[in-house]
Amino acid sequence: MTNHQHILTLAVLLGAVGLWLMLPRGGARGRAVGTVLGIVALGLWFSQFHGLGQWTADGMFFVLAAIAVVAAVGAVTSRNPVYCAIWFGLSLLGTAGLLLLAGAQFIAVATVLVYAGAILVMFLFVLMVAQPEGKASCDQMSWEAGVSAAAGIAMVGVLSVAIGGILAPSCPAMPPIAPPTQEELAAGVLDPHQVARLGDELFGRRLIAVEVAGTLLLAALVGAAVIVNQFSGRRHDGQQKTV
Amino acid sequence: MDLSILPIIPIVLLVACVIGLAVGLLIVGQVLNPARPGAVKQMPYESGMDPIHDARRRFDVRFFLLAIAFLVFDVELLFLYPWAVAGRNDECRMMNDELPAGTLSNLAADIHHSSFYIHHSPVPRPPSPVPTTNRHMVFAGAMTFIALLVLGFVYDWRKGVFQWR
Amino acid sequence: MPPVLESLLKIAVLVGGLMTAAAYLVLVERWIAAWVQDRLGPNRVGVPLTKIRLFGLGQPVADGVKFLTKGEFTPGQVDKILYFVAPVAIFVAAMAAFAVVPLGSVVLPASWGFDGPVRLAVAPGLDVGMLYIFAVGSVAVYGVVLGGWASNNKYSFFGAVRSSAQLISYELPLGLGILGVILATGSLRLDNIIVEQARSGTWNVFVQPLGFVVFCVAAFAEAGRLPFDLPEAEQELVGGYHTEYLGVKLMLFMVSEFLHMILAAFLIVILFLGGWHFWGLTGSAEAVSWPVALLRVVVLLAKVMGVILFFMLARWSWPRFRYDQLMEVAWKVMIPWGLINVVVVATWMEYGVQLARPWNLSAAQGMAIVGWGVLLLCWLATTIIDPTASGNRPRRDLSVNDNCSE
Repeated sequence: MTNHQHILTLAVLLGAVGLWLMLPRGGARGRAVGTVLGIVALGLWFSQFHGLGQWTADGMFFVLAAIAVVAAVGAVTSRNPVYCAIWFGLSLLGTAGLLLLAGAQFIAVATVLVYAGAILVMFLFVLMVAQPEGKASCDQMSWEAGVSAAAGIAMVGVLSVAIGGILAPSCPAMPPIAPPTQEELAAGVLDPHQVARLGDELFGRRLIAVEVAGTLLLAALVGAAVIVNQFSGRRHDGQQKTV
Repeated sequence: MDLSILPIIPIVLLVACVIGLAVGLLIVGQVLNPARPGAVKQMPYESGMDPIHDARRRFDVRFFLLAIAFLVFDVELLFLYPWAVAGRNDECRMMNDELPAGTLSNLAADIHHSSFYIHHSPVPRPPSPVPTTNRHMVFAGAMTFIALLVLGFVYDWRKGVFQWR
Repeated sequence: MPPVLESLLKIAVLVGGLMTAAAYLVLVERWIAAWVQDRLGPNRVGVPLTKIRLFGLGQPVADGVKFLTKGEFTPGQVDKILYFVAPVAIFVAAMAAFAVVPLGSVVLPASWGFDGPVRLAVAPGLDVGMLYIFAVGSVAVYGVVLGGWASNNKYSFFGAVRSSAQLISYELPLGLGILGVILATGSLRLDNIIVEQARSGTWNVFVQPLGFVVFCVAAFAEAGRLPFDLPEAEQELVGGYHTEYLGVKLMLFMVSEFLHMILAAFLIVILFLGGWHFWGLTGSAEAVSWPVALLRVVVLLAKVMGVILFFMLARWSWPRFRYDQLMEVAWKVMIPWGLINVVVVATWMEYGVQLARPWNLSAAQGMAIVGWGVLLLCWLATTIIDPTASGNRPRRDLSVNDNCSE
């Protein structure tokens, strides 16, 4: 293992411990220590990824990535479910920014539209409708803190060591990845017909998958109707009001 | 790679400027006239009555159902946008307006590449939009997709999900 | 000129212009209200310490000063962080949506350092402009929800729940109305949509009246304008989700409301009313010199102003919907209409030429006839079935003490 990989492993382990300490289980001091560890881990982690482009590229990427990661940490460590939702939304906005940076405009916008716009709004609704005080103990405690921290960090560790290994200047297996030229960028990332291509792909070759997705969504609509009958059967058809 | 050609830069700049403006205004407000709290001022405004309990109470489950229905429709719509963009290809356009094929796509490419963001000239023009597979097939697929949506919509309507009284 | 500098310049013009516009639209709205109600309206505030009144043109400045000098206290029961996040979030979302709104393009002299036409939008490179506006608009719901939840006030909370349900319900007709335009244009870029209408000389409102109606109604509701201003129905909910707000924070909410209205007007004009195009006046070429570009901006802004005036007249002309009517209009009228519009437009785009040929019509003429016919049919069908009216009669099976909960 190279020095680079040692540092990455250290960063990931530190991050794991920090995150585990930060999860809401009680103990403000532990959380403070965890926060410090997490910041150190993030710094170490980011310090190992360079050479992605010029300083503007790096700057924009790092700002957006930091927003996404810090907001994600906030999402899992907040005690108040409403704050969790807001952090999660911010994390999604950071992710959408990263996607936009990579030129995947449609997916970026779709992420915001579906996750931040629809799913999170539904989540907020659930919070407001079902347990408005946000005081349910199951939402304030992390029951499987150690397991979830370990699982998440194993994933991050594998990914970052693998990607970091590729990007490392000394890696013999792979040639260094050349940044795309202006022409490649204009032809690929800035392709003005990318949405049209996506549509043709979706409703051409992937038609079956799209129809299956449509059927799944139909099932969701039917499920919604079942829930309304279950919860408020007395007013589901307006006529038989028994109260 | 000159990142400044990417469309995200002006958006991030705009968002940063507007956040700065909003926060700046808030700070100016606080500085110009700091808070003078009082016991009555601190109470929630309930038209002069004393509040009897916390405002955050349980709500009707129908709002939740509405959110689910909205979510499903939103995702379905998102599938339809790429179809709508791809649907109007050269063939259809020529039939419509008696214009040579590719006019709009060339125009779009022109608009795109004459953007001030790209200063180095010869940029290869991207190939014309989409090799259309089978238009009738795509159309039938999209209509089936919409029909599935309508089916769920009608079912929910009949079951009273959209009933508000 | 460096791109970042140019972007900053555009942002400065955009933000400054929008803030000014929002401030003065308040004055215009009050004038219109006065005119509708046959009174004078604000006409006093001019230059301070003189007798110059300037028809009340100083009023927005005075309002701004008043907002800034309000005592900025925070009520005791609120969530201290989200209470401040909410107005900032809604304001940022409202402003950020304007990043892709185009005012046309202009060819500037090459000696100034430009090659090629300059496009008068903050983020002209974004290919998914329409969806971007949608996405940012869906983020605006956060401001409402958070404002109501953080305030911890019953009026605010009811207002927030109602308002967010209204906003998400009307997002669907909005999307369906746009889908027809996208089908006809084949692009999500707003400037392409204008260019397409200018090139063919046929504004989308002529060929897709059903989509126009659906989009307009949804845009009214998304902007929270009367008759859809349930979020802050002041007779029932005091101020709705911003009951507990004051000073600068309230100003941010108010400005955001006007920004939503301006954005809705821009979208209606760009998508359906031809954008900067006017027959025999602006041409349809992409690259134009500055006089024509200026003329186009003037035409576009004049149309936008017209739509805004319509918004304001509507506010003082109609009573508010009841909440169940509001939701039924969204789900039982507008969404079916929008779906019908999409299917009709898609079918016509696909097979319209074959269908129009026997009658010796062009595709656009045929589309117009079909579009207006379908609008008429939908109108008739809705007035006969009319879910809102049928649900509007007094219910004999309800006893007095069976009051409907929220």
